[in-house]
Amino acid sequence: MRKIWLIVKREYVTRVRTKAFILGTIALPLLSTAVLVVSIFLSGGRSGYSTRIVIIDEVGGIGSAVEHALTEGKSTTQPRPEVVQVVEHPAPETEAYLNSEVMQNQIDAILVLPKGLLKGTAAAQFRTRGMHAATLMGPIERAVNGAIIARRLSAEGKSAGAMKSVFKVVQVQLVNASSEKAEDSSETNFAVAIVAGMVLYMTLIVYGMSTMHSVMEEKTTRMVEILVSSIKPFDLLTGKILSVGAVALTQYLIWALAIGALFASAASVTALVRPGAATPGINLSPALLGYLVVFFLAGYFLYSALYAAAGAIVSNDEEARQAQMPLTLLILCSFMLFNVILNNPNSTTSVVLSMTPFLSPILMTLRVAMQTPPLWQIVLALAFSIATTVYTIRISARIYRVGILMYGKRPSLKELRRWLRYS
Amino acid sequence: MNAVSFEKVTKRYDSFDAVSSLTMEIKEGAVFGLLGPNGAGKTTTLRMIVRILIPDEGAVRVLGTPLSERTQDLIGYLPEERGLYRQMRLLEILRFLGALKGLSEAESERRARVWLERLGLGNRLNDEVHSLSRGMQQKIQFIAAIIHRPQLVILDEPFTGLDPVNAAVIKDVMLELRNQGATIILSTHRMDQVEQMCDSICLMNKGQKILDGDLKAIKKSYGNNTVRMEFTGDQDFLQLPGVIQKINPYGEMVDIKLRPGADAQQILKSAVERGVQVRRFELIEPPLNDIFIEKVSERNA
Repeated sequence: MRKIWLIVKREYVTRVRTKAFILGTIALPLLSTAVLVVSIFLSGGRSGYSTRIVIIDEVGGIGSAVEHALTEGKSTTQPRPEVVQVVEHPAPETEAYLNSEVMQNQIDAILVLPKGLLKGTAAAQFRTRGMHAATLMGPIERAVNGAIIARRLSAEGKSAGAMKSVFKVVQVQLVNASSEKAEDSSETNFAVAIVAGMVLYMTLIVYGMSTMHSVMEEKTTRMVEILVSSIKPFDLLTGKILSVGAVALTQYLIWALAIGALFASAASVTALVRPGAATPGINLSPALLGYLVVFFLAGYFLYSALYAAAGAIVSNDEEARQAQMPLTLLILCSFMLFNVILNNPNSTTSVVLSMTPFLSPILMTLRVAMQTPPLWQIVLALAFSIATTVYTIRISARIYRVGILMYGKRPSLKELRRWLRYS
Repeated sequence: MNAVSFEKVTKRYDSFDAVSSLTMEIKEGAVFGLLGPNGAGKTTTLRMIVRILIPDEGAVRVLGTPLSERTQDLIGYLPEERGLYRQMRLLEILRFLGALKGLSEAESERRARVWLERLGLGNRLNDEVHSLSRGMQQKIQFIAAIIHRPQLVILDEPFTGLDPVNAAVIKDVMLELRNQGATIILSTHRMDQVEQMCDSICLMNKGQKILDGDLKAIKKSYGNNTVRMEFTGDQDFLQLPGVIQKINPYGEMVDIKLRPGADAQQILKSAVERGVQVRRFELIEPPLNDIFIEKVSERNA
């Protein structure tokens, strides 16, 4: 144990000290903070964060209803247009004039409600300079339709009170079948799942390769022969994987703190330029966090052991590129199956995939993050993952033990099988 | 007690036995030379002592006990294939390697300072390894092999790449360790060094022992069958096929191997007849170099 600790300590200290680590850890969050802050300022700088539009009402009396609907159904997070003016029964040249105003950036858009709108023979037009319209289309469509329907109903003699009750909106809640509780933040879960999956995917590849290069370094500098005359190869391998993991954790911890600070500062910046706006944030339950950590570790150990074995069988960079390919493809495989899980985390395919060895760590992480699967599935996936990991580490350690002392030609698969039998 | 004993040890690879049924004993407190041509199985043998390789058959014992993690800490090993982490500082890497052999880190660092000072690297404690010359790196590796004051020191080609001054320093340290009771196993191709330093030897070829024992006894067993001569004049007088088996010229000097039972005086006589001026004429035991070549080529013939 003492020797493993020495290995961990040495590797950790020399790694954290490198320029690559310091730059990667400090520069990345700084850069993304800067980008975020700048983009908030830029978008906030445009007069009150809204799109200024003019409504041209050729029908008469409907423009103000649309304006009312647009301003009433306000949501703080969604963008909404600010109606500068409603022009009823415009003079023939008005439309052309307003069009040129749009082109000259005096206003952002005009909403044209033509005569045939009530009967449905003509379509309303939303004219912009061809930009930032997509997110506005939903609210505008709802507002226009609402106003038209109200007008048609009142034409059939329905009272305003009756109309209110007709238009009373009901909500559709997303409910998790297993917990019977309303999922109040399905969008957050989705985001958490993708972020967790991506982080795991990146970690496996980046730090897996890091482990591989560390093994290669000891092999090519011939340091390894001195090391294994003092410590068992298995302990050396264990120490190496643990220390690379610790370096990864250090980096993530720094980033987590930076992101926390980022959210805090983003909240205050947002509050400055946009008073009353909702502040962004993520809520993770402790159970979810626990599962994530466990699957994360299982995946990390599994792939690190494989990368270490790959590092042990090669002697130069070119061979290393070839040897890492199958591993990277394996991880990429999980990544490409993201969609299957995200579309329906509880389908049979998803369940089976999330139990499959080598895919399990990433895919189960996704499922757990999206919506908690039944406990037996989690436990089963975890059992499979741990079994695969233990078995893989054992095989990798054997390959490692023989490989680190072999210089020269990369072994064939047949030779590798023979290595497994060496004692 | 034996520092190391091998009993019918075999290490097998796919197509050949790197070491086959090797039995040998290395006495405690001696300097032992492990010799043999390239590919004889020397490195495999040494790797088994430090437990990097596990024998397929037979038993290896170090200081009377079977190999274990504990015996590893009693051994210092300077491998032939050697290197150091390039990005580490001298003091750091020695502290690490000493601690890996069971010293406390503080003690390891203290000893590292002493040794670095003694081997002339006292002003480079915090330099990184890659800024050092090869010879300097080799001195670091040597310190790493002895920093924990091991009872058994294994040095595989310790002098290659060292200038005569540094080689002499390392040699002094080796003999000093021997005088303090440590056993030293030296593997080298330099026969002159073996003759200077080793008490006993084992000569290996193709995984097998072909000669071992006390170096003086081995040489004595060959008798004084070699004439070492220095002279001025033509070499023609040495054409005595009935007397001379082989001539090894070394510039000014020649070693002449006699045929069994031949009389050395005949060479001297021939020289006088031809008017060659003899400055040195000495009957000696054969140099280890000749024994090595003879033994190995006899086996490979």
